[in-house]
Formats: sequence, structure tokens, C-alpha cells
Amino acid sequence: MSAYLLGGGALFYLLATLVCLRHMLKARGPDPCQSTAPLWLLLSGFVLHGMSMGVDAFAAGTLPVAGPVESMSFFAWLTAGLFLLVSLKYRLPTLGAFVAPTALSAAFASLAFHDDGRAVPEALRTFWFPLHVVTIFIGQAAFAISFAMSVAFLIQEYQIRRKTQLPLVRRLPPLEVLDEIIYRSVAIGFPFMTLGMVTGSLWAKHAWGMYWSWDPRLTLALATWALVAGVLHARLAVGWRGRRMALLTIAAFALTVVSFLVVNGLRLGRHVGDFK
Amino acid sequence: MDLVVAGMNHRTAPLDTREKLSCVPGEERALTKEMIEAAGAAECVVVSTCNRFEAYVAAADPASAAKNLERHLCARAGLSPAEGAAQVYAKRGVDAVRHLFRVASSLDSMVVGEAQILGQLKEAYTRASEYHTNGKTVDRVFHAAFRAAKRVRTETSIAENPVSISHVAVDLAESIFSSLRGRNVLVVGAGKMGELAARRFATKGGMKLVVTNRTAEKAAETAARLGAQSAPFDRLESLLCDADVVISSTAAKGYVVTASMLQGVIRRRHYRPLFLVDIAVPRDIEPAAGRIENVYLYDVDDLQKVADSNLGARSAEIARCEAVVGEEVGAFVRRAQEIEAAPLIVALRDTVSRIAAAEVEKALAGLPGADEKSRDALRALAHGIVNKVLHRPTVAIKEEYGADGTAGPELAEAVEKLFGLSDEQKR
Repeated sequence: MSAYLLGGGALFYLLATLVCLRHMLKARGPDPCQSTAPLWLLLSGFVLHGMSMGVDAFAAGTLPVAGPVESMSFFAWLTAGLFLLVSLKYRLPTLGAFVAPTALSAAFASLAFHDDGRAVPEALRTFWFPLHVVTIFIGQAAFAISFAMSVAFLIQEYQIRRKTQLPLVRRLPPLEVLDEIIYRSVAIGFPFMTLGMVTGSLWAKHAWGMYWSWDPRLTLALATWALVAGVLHARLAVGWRGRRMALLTIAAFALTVVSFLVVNGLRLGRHVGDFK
Repeated sequence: MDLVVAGMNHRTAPLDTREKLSCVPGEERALTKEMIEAAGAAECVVVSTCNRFEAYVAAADPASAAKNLERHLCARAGLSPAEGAAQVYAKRGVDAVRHLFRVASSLDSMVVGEAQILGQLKEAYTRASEYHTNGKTVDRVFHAAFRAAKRVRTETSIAENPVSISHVAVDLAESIFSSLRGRNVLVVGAGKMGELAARRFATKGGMKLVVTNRTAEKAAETAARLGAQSAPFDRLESLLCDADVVISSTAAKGYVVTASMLQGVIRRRHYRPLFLVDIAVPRDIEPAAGRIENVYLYDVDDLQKVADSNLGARSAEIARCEAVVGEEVGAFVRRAQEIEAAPLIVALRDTVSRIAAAEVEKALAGLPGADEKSRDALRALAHGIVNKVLHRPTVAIKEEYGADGTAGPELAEAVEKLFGLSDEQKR
């Protein structure tokens, strides 16, 4: 059941990706910023994807985020949802071209390794664990949005500075809009990340018997947290914005991706995201 | 009734000839009447802009209307017949329709894709309806032209990217700032081009313009013309801190705004983006400033380069626009043919059906024993024969009718003669 829902969700993500790409690459015709088709497609995918996870969660009795694939899927779902929220305020269907593929690949990966009602280990059946996962992933999803906007910012700024128009990306939003979304999503992501680390530490006390250890994953997370705190400080106190903010945001997101992929891939430490 | 156009435009006639024809505000009504009389036409719309003068008329005899109108325009512009032949054009039928569609779609404009011409055509048409010189033909063809123009604008990118320096500057500002409302525009110097660009920004509305100049009186003059405030030149640095867009066009030999000055400014303004437009030659703003973070500097050449590449993109779109116009002309002609041919076809079918019905009744009178089924079969047979026989002529009439504006009356006469339409109707 949940596999079918997930498949349907992936199909809509695929459609949204295609429509967004077409909008971005299309050099002529009416202004694609007026079109809401990509957003409706993304929303349909988001709803189906969410229902699929809901079915899994119901079967397991807790959040289905035991393995890396499930975590990826959950993360992609949150990112799509956050992007939809951002789109309520800013008309950015072309930027869906940066977000929809993320959701699409995660949904496909999750579909390939899908396993109805995987048993959730006892260690994860605690009060703190779902709270930790949800908060940390909301933070991650916000960083993912800011990352996508940063890439768009750098492309748009390159076009303006070079006084040329890249044929591929004809209609990106103004620099200021992108800058604002970068800042706001980092500012929203940061408290969630902080909360995620606190709840994670409470869970660690429960599961491992200690609040903190210098585990590779935890150390990287702390470094990322410090970087993001620095970025926010530079913005608020010194007024850094634009290109600098975009590059720092990309760095921060890269760090989180590294800590997720490399640490999980090499199974360094005990926080490897696969608690089977 | 067929459409005829006669006139001259920026390509065929020089400005001093166009001037002689162009219409002074207030005399449009008289001019329209004059064109109607000269052409012997029933309907007329006069289009007079700085780039063209054209009279669109609908006349029962298009050939002579075109000739008369052309002759009249030559006389009015004081042209010899030889000059007139080169400078004045006259078109009728499908050619006239296509011409109007191309004009409305801005394919015949000096700057292809500019939006003004459509508005001017609409005004001309509205004026004609005020004078009651419009009519069925003119209404149909102008509405179709407006529709074609709209399709061209929405389905192609002909009008998408600006092709003038000041438009390009505004366009760039819009891809930097989230909104231009409430922004500060600083105008440095009193150059003509700078003022023009500032005016272009002002049309966007909701912007605060400040003018500064080494000579305070000149700043005040420019500010008064722009409806802006003026500020003393020695405050330039703090003015730069407040500005979002700077338009510079001084006559200074050296740099008025240096890179090191801007480095301090950008820090003081907390890295808020600053868009510098340097229209002066020699340049006012040190080029190195363009490399400072969050400072975006465009000089005249940069703006011109963008404008040129946009113009190039427009020319590349022309073929697509022509295709859209072609489709619309085709659809218009087909509709017009059907409308024009309808009365003839109706008369033809009426006549033949009536003959068939009469013959059926005659035959039935001689067959008193026939039951209802056989009677119906006989009627259906007659009906079927009428349809089959008339199918080819109906299609042929639709195809031929008014295809080039001449076949219509002849075809009608031939059909009337062959089928005795007028005799039938008289009876």
C-alpha cells in the first residue's frame, strides 16, 4: 500500500521536475513565473509521499526513519513541504527545478529499497528519538532550501556581473529576493538544528548512557552548528549578504551532506543512521 | 466589401514627406472624411503616427478605391507620380489584411516588437467609430488584427527583452532588487542621457529621485524637470550610501566616483546591493568598482551590448511572428469567405430543394396507393440527391468566394445564371 502511494508521489515529483525544467529552459512565451502548475504537481507528490510515510508509521507504531533510505525520504518530503511554504510568499516556480529533483531522487531511492512495515528496533522506540529526527530534519530541509537558493543566487549574480545571459536560466528571481530567502531559511533552520541536537543528546543519554561523545558524526554536526551560528552572526551584526552569504550557506549545507553521506557510508562511529 | 490600404511608412518615405501627410490633432475627422471621398469608400480608419500614415478603407470597388486613394495621397504629399510609385503603397484584399496584421503585431515597426503601435491602432479605430466611419468590414478586420497582435505578443518573445539603453537599465535593476518601489535613485550630473534614464526609472513609480551636480543651480534645474529633490555635491559619499540605483552622466574628465570611495560606501551601507549606471563618456565611475562585492556597474557599452543582443534575439523571433500572422490571416480569410458566401449558398440550396420537393409531391400524387413508408423513402431519396449534387458546388463557392477579392461577384452571377436563382426567387 505505502509502496503504491510512494510510487504515485515519485511520479508527481517527476512531472514537477520536468515542468520546472521546461519553464527554466524555455526562452520564450508567457512569463513562467505566472504559472502555478509545477507547484500543484509538487504538492500532489508531497501529499502522496506523506500518505505513504503515514501508512508506514502507522504499521511500525513510530516514525519510519530507522534506515538511511527512509531518512532520506523523510528529509526530501520535508524539503518539498518547506519549498511549498516558501512558494506561498514568493512566486518561484522556476526554482522548483532545484528542489523537485531532490524530492524525486529521494523518493526513487526509497522506492527501490522499500520495505513495508520494517521493524523498528527497541532503541529507537523512545520519546526523544522521533523528536530528535523531526527537529534535526526540519533544520536540514531549511538548509537544503537555502542551499538551492544560494546556487540560484550565484548563477543570477554571475549573469549580471558578466553582463551576459546564460541561455539555460532565463528567469531567476531578483538577487535581493534570493538573498532574503537564503537568510530566512537559515534563520529558521538554525533553531531547529539546535533543538535537534538537544533532543538528540537527551536520547543519547537514554540509549547510550551519556549526553555527548566525540563521535565523528556528532563532531561534524557541532562544527556545522558553529558555522551556521557564525553565518547568522555575520548577517545580523556585520550585515554580510549576497555572494558571501550564498557561499557560506553552500559550505554549511555541504558539511551536513558530508556528515550524512560519508559518516553513514563509511560507518564511522556509532551514529550511523542505520539502527538495524 | 473589401479592405484597401494606402499609405507610407518609415521604410518607404523620408520624414519630410511623411510630415506633409501626418495629421494634426483636431483635424482627424476632416481627414477621415477626405479619405472616404477620395477613395469612394464606405468605411475608413486613418492611422497617423510619426513612422507611418495609412488610410484603411472598405469599398465595394476595391481596385478603383486603391488607385484613387494612392493618387490622392501623392497629391497631398506633393509627390510626382514617379516618386509616389516608390513611396506610397496601396494594397487590397488579403494583402491589405496581412499588412494590417503585421502593423498591429509590430512587425512593420522601426523597432520591431515595440508596443506603442498597437495602442495607436486602437486609438485610430476608436476615433473611426466616434465618427461613424467604421462598418462591418473594418470592424471585423481590426478586431482580428488586435487578436493576431495579442497572439504574437504572448506566443513569441518578440517584445520580451528591452532594446533601449534606459529600458535595459531598468530591467537590470529589476533583476537585482526585489521591487523598485520606495528605492532611492541618485542622478549624478546633468547629462541628457542620464536624465532620460532617470525618467525611465521614474515611470516605474514609487521611487525617490535625488539629483546632485557640481553646479548647484544645474542640479536644481534638472531636479525640477524630473520632479526630484536636489542635494549638494559635496555630500556625494553619503548620497551613495542612501542610494540603490545611481545614474551618472557628468561632463567630468576624470572619475567622479572611485573604487576606493565605493569600498567605504558599501561597508557603510552594510553590503546592501548598489546598482551603478554610468552613462557618461568619458566614464564617471572607476571600472574597478564593478568588482566590489554587491556593486553592479554597467557603462554605456555594457548597456548597449545587452540592448543589441536583445535586438538580435528579436530578429530571430520574426519568423515565428510571421508564422502566427500567417495563420491568423488564413483564418480570417476563411471566415470572411464563409460569411460572404453564405447568402449565395442558402439561396442555391433553397431553390434546388424547393424544386425537388415539388417533384416529389407531383410523383406522390400519381401514386395514391403508396404507404407512409414508401412516401418517406421517396422524400429521403430526393433530399439525398439534392445534398449529393450540391456538395461540390457548395465547397467550390466557399473556396473561390472572395479568395482574392474579385471572384465573388462573378461567381455569384454565374451561379445565379446556371441555377436560375433570381427567376426562382421571383416566382
